[in-house]
Amino acid sequence: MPFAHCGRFDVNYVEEGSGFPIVLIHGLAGDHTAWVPQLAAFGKDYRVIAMDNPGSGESSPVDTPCTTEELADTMLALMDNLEVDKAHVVGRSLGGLIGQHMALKAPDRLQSLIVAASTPKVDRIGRRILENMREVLEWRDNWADWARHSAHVFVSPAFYNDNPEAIAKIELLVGNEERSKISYVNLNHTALTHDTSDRLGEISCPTLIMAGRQDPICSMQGTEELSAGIPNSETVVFEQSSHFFLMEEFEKSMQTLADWFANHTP
Amino acid sequence: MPVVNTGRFDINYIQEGDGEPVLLIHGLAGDHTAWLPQVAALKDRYRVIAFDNPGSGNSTTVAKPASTADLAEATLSLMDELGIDSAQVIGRSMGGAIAQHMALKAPERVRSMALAASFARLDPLGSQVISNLQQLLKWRASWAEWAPHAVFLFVSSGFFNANPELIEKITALVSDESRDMVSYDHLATACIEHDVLDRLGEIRTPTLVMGGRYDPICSMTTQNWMMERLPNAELAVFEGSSHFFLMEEAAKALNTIEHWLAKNNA
Repeated sequence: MPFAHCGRFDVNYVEEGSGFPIVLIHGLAGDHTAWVPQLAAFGKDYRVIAMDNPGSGESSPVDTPCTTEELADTMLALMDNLEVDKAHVVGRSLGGLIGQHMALKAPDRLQSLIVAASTPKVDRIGRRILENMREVLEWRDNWADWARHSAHVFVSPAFYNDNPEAIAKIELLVGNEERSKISYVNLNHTALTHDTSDRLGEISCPTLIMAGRQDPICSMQGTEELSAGIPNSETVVFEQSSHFFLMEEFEKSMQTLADWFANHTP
Repeated sequence: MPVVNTGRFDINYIQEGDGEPVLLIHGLAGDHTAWLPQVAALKDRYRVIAFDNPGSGNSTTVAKPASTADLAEATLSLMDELGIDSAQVIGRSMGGAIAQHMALKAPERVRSMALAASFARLDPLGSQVISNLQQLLKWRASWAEWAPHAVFLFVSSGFFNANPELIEKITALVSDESRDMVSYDHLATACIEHDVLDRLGEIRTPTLVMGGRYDPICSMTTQNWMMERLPNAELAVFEGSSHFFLMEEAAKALNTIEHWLAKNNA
């Protein structure tokens, strides 16, 4: 995989297909492989770029605290590197927080913004859950225990109970012992300090807000604030799902994205 | 508060009012005070009994493993001691598991049974969540550190976000360091091992199954398992709530219980 130097961080990325660019930004607990199905599907009609966020996958670790604003600069630098003037920017969870700052900083570079399981500011229960996750990692210093204590929060009860193989796969992925713990702790803090509550009205590009009705990490409270605050936005709620609705209601989410790209690409 | 000896355990109880007996059995994380609002509401029409389960409140600790069947024996002995031939029984969570064993052992003594956020067998998610909580307590040996990892599971995201003072109060209650950790561990195991799913067909007692739509501990999966097997049951779902719908949707829950008791009164 190629690397791009983006200021403070070296960013590992993949590209698929050609056409109008789509930039995919993953969340706190993942890396670029979270987007494998989207890379394959949208790579047929678009130039799709997915990276490992700083502190994730093969990109530089996040050894000292950083903000979602800095990470937005990193992503814009990656777009510069890849000579992408304008793109649809899709961010899930922490990636959506980063996407909000990209839209605020460089409105001319975003054809549209898509935030999945996101929020302007982590709410009380989301904060509690992120603090719990950090505590388990600090107490145990291993990812396997962390995975067992976290995976169930990402999906709805019905999905958890009906899909034991998918759950085992999630636990295996997020339980990968090579992940940098210091980066996770710093990025966990990055998410907790994000606050665009007072600036949502400045997001001018067309915005798609996607949310899981049963998501306790980025709950409907944050979703409703995004919907009310971003002027040019549409909201799609995944009724049966939690934080991982891109997997839980895979087909509906893929169709929603495909329709959005088709309707918002010049 | 009076105490009666029921063989292995001394049980601390309260009783209020006159009329047909209503017996209230609390869950894993509580004691008889969980029922104070119901006691207050029902005592004008019924003889209401609430008690500390073995291992909880001021009843005898559970120093060695005990099953839900053992706890049902203790509860039937409590009825003997109080001169109660038969009662309408309401059990929440583990209390409902105990009630099922009472109905199986002594059907003539259980006039009706209301199972609130309960289970005949924990589903995969419920089992994982309970064993996580058991593990957290062993790792940290601190109720104060355990509490925040438990409380967010008890209520819906909306309730958690909207009621910070109440969340703090619940957290403080379950952080009470005088609670016996060995008892909790044995009772958590009793929950994980409770399994009368294949015997529910034997229960002809009129049964009210109450579930919280967002409950991850006793999810709709396990509520549906019970409904498919209980021959004489009706279902009430609390659409906005999690495990604590008796508090989250207090008025609706009390109303449901009052109707149920009136309908099954002698």
